[in-house]
Amino acid sequence: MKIVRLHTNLDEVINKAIDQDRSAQKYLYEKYSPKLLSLCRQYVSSIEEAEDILIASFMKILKNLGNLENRNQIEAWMKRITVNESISYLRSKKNMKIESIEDKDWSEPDYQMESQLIVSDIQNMIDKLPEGCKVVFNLYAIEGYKHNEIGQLLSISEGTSKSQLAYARKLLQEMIVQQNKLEIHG
Amino acid sequence: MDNQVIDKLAREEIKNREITPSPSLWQKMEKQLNAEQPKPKNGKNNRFIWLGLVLTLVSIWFVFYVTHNNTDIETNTLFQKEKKNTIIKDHIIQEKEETNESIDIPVKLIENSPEHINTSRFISPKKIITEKNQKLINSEKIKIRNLKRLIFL
Repeated sequence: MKIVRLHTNLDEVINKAIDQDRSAQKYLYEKYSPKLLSLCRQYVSSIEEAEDILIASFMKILKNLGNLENRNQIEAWMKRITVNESISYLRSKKNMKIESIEDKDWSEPDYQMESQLIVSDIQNMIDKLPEGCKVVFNLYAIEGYKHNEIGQLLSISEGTSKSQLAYARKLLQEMIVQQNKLEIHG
Repeated sequence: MDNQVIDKLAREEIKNREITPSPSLWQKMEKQLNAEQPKPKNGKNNRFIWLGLVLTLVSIWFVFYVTHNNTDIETNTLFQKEKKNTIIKDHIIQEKEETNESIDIPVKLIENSPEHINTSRFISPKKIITEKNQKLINSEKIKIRNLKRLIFL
């Protein structure tokens, strides 16, 4: 019963937000912005840049709210817009170019993961990745996109997407090993 | 190291992460929203303009209709009167012709017409009346034309 009421409320809030009701728009912003800001942060290293992307994304979200067909999927829909906006940002501001690196050897390094990683470590490591493979890793490993979807989104071939992912994984593993060595030695 | 280990770690730790935006961010966005919000259309003014236009058209049509109809009525009444007179006169003429008496009808003909000079007394009464009618029609036509000019000026 409570779930139904909450759902109805969200529906009402969406309707009001479509009608430019500022308090309803603020409600949606407060509810979803922390998750969306985290998503933006995956693609850029600074929180200021991430906030700029969040504003651009949310403006688009509010503008297109009337086109949202399945309101139960609002969060996934918002995330899709935010991912697209992040990629647009990288393309325009960072001149992101993703090229195929298939001719390199992507054999798995013979390491064992020994240490416990904390979140900030992973984010710092991802931040250090080159733009192209960072985006592909975020889309594939975190957001769950498939290679053909990534190819369409970034206008690259599936092969390029796969090679970029493999390169990202290799670099991350090397970073983890490096960090472990530092932890062990002091 | 298994590829899936790093993917899983990243997915679990980053996907559920939340970062609270700075407090001023909403205000920044609200400014943009206010700037981009479409201005409400001035529906009331538009409605008044349309209403005014319709009223003007209707009143023009009404004035035209009324004046046109009145002249028609006037013309019709005049024609009817004249027709009545003609019938009566015809009737009188017929009666007089029957009794072989001359007809004395006041006639006003156009000057210089040969009929007036020579045979005014012997002109057929019907012809005289038709000419009178024609004159009347012409004057009515002029009246209507003047009215139309007045309306459209």
